[in-house]
Amino acid sequence: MSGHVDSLLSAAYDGELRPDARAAFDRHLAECSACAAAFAELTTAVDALREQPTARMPHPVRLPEGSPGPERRWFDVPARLPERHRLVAGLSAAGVLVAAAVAAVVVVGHLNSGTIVHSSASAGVSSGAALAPGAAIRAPLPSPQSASLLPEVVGPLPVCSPKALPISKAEALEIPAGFSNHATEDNGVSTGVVATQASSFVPGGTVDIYARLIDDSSHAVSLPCTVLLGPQSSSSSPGEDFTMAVPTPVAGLTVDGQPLLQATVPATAVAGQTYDIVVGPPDAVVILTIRIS
Amino acid sequence: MDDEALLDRCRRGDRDAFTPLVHRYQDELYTMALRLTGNPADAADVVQETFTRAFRSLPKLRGATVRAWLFRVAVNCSHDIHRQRSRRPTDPLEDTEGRVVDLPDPGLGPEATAIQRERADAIRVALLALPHDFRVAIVLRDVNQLSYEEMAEALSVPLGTVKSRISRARGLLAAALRQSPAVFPRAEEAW
Repeated sequence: MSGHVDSLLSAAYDGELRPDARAAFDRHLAECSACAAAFAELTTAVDALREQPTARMPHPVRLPEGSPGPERRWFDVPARLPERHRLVAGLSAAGVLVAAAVAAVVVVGHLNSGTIVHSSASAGVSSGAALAPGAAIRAPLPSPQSASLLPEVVGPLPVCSPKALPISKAEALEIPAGFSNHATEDNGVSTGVVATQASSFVPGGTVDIYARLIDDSSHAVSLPCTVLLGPQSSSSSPGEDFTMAVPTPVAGLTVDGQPLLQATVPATAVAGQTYDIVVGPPDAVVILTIRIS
Repeated sequence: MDDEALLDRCRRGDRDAFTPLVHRYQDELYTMALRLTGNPADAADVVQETFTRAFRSLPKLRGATVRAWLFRVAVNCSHDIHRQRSRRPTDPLEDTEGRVVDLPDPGLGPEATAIQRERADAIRVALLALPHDFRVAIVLRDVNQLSYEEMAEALSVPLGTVKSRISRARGLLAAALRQSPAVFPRAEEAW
């Protein structure tokens, strides 16, 4: 082995060198006092760290009330249904239930005022687009879990870009390991999937997004779609891409054959930063249900 | 009952299945957070916040091990708390309620106890001086003894990045401790 072996010290400490590499490493240390000293120093330091005792959590962990799982909350959003939604609500039989749901949304939404949620057109890209204020409403999810109060942001694609949901807490969300990045090379938009921007969510917990996509021509639900989440500007982000897995139909969350899509969006949010949620396909109507826990 | 079985029960809404996970990991996570933050009160907050988030999110966990995921959340919580709070001068041996943590081995004599305390303090200072990513890497590896693969999963970085961070962190730690007589007794003799 020629030269010093600084780069191998850590692997050697962990016993990660292959037998032949380890033998060469040991031979080098026998001949090189500098490397031998460096390895001894590293070993002593790391051993000292490893010998530190395990500390004990000083008080019991307090668990939230209820059962493990997302806590459901309302968004406070204004409710003014855009024209397009009224058209959607009047669509064919397949849309009747949806129409009912939208109507419910409107009613509930009118009863509440508060934080602004917008819709905007942004087909194919996840950058910002002109907003159509007031496209956001909220309602119980028309599903077997309809007793739960879930916010809905309704907007026709490619005119759906919920923005600026109320964020009162400046904490962080988590991306569980195992979530993979999808199609981030083209600004988070994969081919054939609409990239309609929906930005922001409440940091402090997991965000579930239920997207019910309704194809304008067939009134059928389009499956699957890709839902992405990521910082608007990579330069202002901590260098992470926040991406949701491809959503899949959720068993039990159906409305007369209208499956809902579910995707979980845990991410490490940065306080004050805007995040994108991307939903497709183009020219579809999408009803997003965003649940924050 | 292993983690996956408990996780399955959590997914079915079984609150009682979550408690064993807390008991199983709270001290590991607390130790990690203590080494990362250097502050017992912050470390306890990290563990509390980690399990609060886990309570809400863990049932939906897919494609990852519970242990690695908990460490990931705890690392992020540690980072958040570190970012949110200005460092306050506290006695590292006391938490906010004044209880002593990390007690020395009662079987040691006064001199050995003093050395142990000095060594612990030197290590704490050296760890806190490391850049965040390196500190996380060496703590997960050499305090919590996660495997390279678990670390890659917990940190969502490639295996090569894990190894290089560990290597770099160990080198920096060794350099920082070089002059500590409690860690390197020969350094004291040389004086």
